[in-house]
Amino acid sequence: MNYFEQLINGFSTALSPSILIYGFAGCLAGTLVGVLPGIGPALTIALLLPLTFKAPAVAMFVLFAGIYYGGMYGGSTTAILLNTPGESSSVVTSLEGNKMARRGLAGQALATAAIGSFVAGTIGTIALTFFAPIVVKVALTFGPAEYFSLMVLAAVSVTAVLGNSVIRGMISLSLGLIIGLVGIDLQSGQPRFTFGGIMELLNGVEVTVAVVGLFAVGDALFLAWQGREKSKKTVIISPKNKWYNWMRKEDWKRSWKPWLRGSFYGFFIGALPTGGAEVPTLLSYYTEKKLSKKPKEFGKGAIEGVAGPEAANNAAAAGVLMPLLTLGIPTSATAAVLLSAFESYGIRSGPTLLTQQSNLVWTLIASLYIGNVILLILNYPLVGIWVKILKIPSQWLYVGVIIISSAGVYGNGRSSFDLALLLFFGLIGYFFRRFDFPAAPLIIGLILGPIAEQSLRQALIIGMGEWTTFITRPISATILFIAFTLFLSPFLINFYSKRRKVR
Amino acid sequence: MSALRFSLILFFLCGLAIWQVTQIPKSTLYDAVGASLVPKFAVSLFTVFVIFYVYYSFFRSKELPDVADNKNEKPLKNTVNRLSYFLGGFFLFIILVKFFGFIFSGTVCGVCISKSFDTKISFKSLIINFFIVSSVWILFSVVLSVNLGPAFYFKI
Repeated sequence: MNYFEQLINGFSTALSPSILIYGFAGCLAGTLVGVLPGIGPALTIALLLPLTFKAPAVAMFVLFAGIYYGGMYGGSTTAILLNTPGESSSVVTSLEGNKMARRGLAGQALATAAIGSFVAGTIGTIALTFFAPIVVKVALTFGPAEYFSLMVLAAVSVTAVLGNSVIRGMISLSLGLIIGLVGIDLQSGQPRFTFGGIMELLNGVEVTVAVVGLFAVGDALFLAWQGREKSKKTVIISPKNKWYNWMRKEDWKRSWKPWLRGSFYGFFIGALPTGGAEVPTLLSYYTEKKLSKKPKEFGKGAIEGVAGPEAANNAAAAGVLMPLLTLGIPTSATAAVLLSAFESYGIRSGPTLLTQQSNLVWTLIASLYIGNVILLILNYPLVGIWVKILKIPSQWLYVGVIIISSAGVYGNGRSSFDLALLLFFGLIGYFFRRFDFPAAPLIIGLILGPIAEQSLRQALIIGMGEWTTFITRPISATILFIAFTLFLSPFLINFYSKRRKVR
Repeated sequence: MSALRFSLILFFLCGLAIWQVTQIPKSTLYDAVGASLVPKFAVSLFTVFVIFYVYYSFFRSKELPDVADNKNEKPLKNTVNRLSYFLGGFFLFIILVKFFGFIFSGTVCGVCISKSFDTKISFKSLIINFFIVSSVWILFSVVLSVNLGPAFYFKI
């Protein structure tokens, strides 16, 4: 069966009523959390992870995809109406979007963001559909040595490039690696990091407990420590005219090119192992500023400054799924949480995912197409509802977050030890947020660590214990070289920028 | 809590990890690629970077970010109280859930957590928290069939 037929099959599954409901619920939940500042798709998917024990994999991944895309759509609403980006990738949108809203053009800003998100999301998904099988074809030729090198590249790129400090990133990553090794070693049967055989640790640390603790409990604890949530006053600028009058002819004319350029930036940068959505949105903003016929409008509310970055943001969401679905490499916090969802189902991510779980992957991709349409309908005319949701008091919101987190973790075995572990990870999450440690490397270390260990052992056994096996194989050597360069790049950039300042 | 104190916590975790690596039994069968190979590597990596962090926190602490030093983000007064209510509430939940069921312990936890967000402990707070916890229990236990145990329970 070729990939086109598999996509059609994916559509037939995704359009079945039971799966469609999950898709719709995901889009709704995703938009909701995207709208609420401080609660992102990573946290929401983390909260729902414990439900993976109950629902079928296809349904849950369609739900998660809806949350992921919905979060991207919803983030722009708060960025424009409240000047509070729900997501870090929506920061650029708020630069021009909120200025437009203050000028009475909130409707136009929301419309170009929603339609741009739809266009970019669809373009990104089409690109994912065509490029994913090609990447998988190449990746399937990989042996354990190449696969181990790829894990090293993933870990290093996310740790060294995306964070603000290599030291803090590496501490987070290595802590994740250590936590990932807790439990009985499957090859030799020896207990590791179990503190004299604590029964609850013998099976290892559940990824869901770590993810929920770091993101949900950690965030709530941090905000409680800060104590600023209650004193925050929200100034929401609601659009005055009806939603169907929002886009004028001139707005369409000024928006369509930024949408396309933003989609291009978003997908291709998002698909890189060092991707993410922040870089393409910034790049798109500056490109539009440079190419605009009305550059003086930038800083006062230029529609191109909303259209381009918002498109880049959504295309990046599809781009991030590319290394995740083809190589098993997460390049953002949400992707790391999605990877842990694969873990929960016992699905091995990586190049074999597309062949062994083709129905799941193609249904997921098909659901992205459908989700984009649902999100356009949800976001464009229903903005009034999202504005009302912004008024939920934070104290009840975070009580809800903690109770849902605890219920999710407690529901899997009714263990008080798991709840204590949840609190432990919550404390780590609080310290990480306070002292600017990135959380994503810890999750990546936790998930990829055991897989990388297995690949390392296999490669060494095949290579008769010779460590040179990693540098004598050309693909493995190239990947390791890229990883090494990426690891050194922040130090080199720092060194040269300091030297330039001295001059 | 400063970056220095946090670095010392990390240093303590390092010590624990090193001690645990020494406890992994030797395997003759898989000695070259044995059970302790990757743990040794991971703990070494952790130790090296924690030492860097400790060094920075001792001698170049101004270079280490701490939200508490940020003018726009630093916490308001009574941080210890707020953290105590939050952690205390969660701790009570862990202790009470086995003896009193999910809804009672969850409500107690919710009241403490909402207090940590500067909401007064009152009848209104109790009712709202009870409503939130009950809704979650119904969603998980009744709708999604997740086993959260009985809603109310009394066993000492």
